[in-house]
Amino acid sequence: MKARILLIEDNEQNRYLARFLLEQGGHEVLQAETGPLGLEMAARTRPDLILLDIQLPGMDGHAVARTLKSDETLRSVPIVAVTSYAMAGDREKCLEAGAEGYIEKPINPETFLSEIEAFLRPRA
Amino acid sequence: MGTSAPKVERILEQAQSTEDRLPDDQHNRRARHKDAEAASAASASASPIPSAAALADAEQTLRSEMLFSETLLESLPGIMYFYDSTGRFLRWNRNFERVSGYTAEEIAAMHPLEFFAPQDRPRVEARIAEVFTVGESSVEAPFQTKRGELIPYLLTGRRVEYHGRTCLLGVGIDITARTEAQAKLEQSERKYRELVEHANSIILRWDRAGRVTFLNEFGLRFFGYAEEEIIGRHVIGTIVPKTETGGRNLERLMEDICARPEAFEQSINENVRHDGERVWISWANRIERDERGEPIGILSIGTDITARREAEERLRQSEAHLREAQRIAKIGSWELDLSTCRIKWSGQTSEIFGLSPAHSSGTYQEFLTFVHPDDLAALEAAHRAALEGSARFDIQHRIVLRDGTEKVVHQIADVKRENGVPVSLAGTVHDITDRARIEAERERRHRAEAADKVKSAFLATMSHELRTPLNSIIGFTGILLQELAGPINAEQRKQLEMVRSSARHLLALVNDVLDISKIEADQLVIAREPFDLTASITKVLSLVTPQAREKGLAMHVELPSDLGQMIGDQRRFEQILLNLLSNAIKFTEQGEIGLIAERLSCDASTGQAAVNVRICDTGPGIKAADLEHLFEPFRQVDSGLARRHEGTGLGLAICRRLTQLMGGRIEVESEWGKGSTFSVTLPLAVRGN
Repeated sequence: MKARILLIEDNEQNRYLARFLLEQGGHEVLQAETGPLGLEMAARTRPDLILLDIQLPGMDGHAVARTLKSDETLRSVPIVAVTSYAMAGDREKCLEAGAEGYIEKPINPETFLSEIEAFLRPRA
Repeated sequence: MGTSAPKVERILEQAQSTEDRLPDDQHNRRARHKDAEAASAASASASPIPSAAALADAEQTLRSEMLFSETLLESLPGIMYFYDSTGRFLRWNRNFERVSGYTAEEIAAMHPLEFFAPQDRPRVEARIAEVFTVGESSVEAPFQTKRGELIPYLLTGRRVEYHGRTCLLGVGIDITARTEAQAKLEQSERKYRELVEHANSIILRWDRAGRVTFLNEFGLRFFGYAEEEIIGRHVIGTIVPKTETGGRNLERLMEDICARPEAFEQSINENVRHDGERVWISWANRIERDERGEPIGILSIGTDITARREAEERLRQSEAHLREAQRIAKIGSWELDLSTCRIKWSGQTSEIFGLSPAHSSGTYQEFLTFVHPDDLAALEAAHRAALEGSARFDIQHRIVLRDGTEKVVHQIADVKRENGVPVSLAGTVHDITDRARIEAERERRHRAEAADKVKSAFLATMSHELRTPLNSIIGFTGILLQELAGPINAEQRKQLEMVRSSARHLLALVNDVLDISKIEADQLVIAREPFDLTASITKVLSLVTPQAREKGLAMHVELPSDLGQMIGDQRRFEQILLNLLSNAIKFTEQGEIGLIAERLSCDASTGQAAVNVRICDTGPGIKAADLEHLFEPFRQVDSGLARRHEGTGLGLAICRRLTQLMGGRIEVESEWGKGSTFSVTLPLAVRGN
């Protein structure tokens, strides 16, 4: 099943890496560098899944997730948080903010695609 | 009469000589006695005619008798009078005239009742009548003189038949002295009775048997008894309770008082009123004794001190409350007399300054010796400012006790002025040592927390900054090795695998450093979620088994299929096992690696259900000297080995901290050259942090 995935990530190389792997799976990848841009793009494109980096400059991933979940039209879009914090309570914080999934950096390129696809749900 | 004859003679002679010297009025009085003389003459004439000699003799005898009775009458100390039943005076003595102040003519014309005041007349009249009917009587009545004076007299009357007429012979004695004495006595008695009756004290007399024989009016009113209700009754059970509220038994009070009277001269008892109300009375007790000295009763004078006692008790309680309040609040009070420079202070102030409670005053100079030298100037400035009126005395400073203890006190005081002149400084001293310490501690903790936040933020940043490039390196290396970006040759694969291996090692180092840093900064959270132990251990084994196989090491596994669930942090549990197994494989060149897991229903050291996993190897073992430092960070033993065996030296330190955080323990047994066994014991229900 091909999906439209919105990638919100500030690091260019990591964005490229994730896009490369997701496109290997045949998915359409939309990219945003910052939280506000991501929100704007999400509202405009209604993606099937949002891959959200937590350590974003300015508006961080938690705030982006909360904003997405408070939006009627975007509430149902699954969010997978990607974080390199791995600090106390990180996972809980992400889930609290509304993320459905949680992946730690560095990603494993061999399993990354299947991990993401597990969160895809049939299009409404 | 014979024996008194010579006396009679003497009296007669005296009478004769007296008559010779009688003044005219006396001679006149003679004339007034003519009736009597006539009577004598009549009597003499009634007898047979005697001879002249006999007549002269008889006359002589008669004269003597008359002289005798005359003299007798006149020598009587009192008054004498003689009147007939109609009240006509027949005779009286000179005293009667002298006392009454009336002349003989006046008396002769008067009636006996005229010598009495109108109010006394009926009484006297009755007595006079009694004389005439019964024969004699007496009466005490004031004798009224011509001048209207009333003189108390005891009058005695006797009926006398005289020449056929019934007469009254009366004698009166002046009883002024006796009456006055009696009146004085009565007055005195009345005075004392009034004193006793109306004294504002309880006056009680009780006999040897303990019965009330007297209780004054005040006492009756005080205890609420009518006289007839209390007199004759035992004091115990009436005004004295059997036991005091305080428990003192009073039943033997009487015996006690008699046995030790001196101890009871003053005593304070609890008494009881008729209505049951308890009262406190201060008694003065005096034993009354009979002529042989035997105690016959006790005279007790009591004062109600209930109100005083209550006031004293209230004062005592109030003082106790103040003391208690000062003790609890650690606030003492003091007052400095500015004219004498002496300070008086409360017990709590003594306590704060480490002085004995008896030490309750001293000089201002003495107080200054307690002040911390560095705070002295500020204190004196505050003192001056307070006296000048420019600022309230309100200062926090340190004091140094005699034993060297340092305390922090907060003092507040107000200046008392008289006519604008400061006379004293009264204030409180509050021991705020604990509060100051707590504030210092809070400040320290606050700084520590701020530092922790900085540390935490630093760790997060480091984690992010280190992982972001590693994400690229590992990710792209993986993509290339999977040939997702196109085919690669064997050499390229070999080199890319070296990149990936180094990147993975670098990641392991980063992870370990971050882990230990997180633990040190108390930033590591232990999850509490249920997971299956057998499955978890199996997963770890699957990760390390390929490495063991690569090195040609055998795996010996004893893993029950029903270890059950553990509530804890699965990831950290697996991290510990993975670390220990990786170490075992890393350091063992030949032989086997063992894993033995078992469930302990009751861990010997904690008493809780636990899981124990032992990991054994046939590696080089650890020297005894190294064992004690084995779990310390950055302590990989044998630097020679370190070069051969890559690692941060943090693995075991992390394992130990993690097991501790989960409420478990890690132990090691090793023999140099024979191998090591690491044993991890964790409770099945991990406490969260």
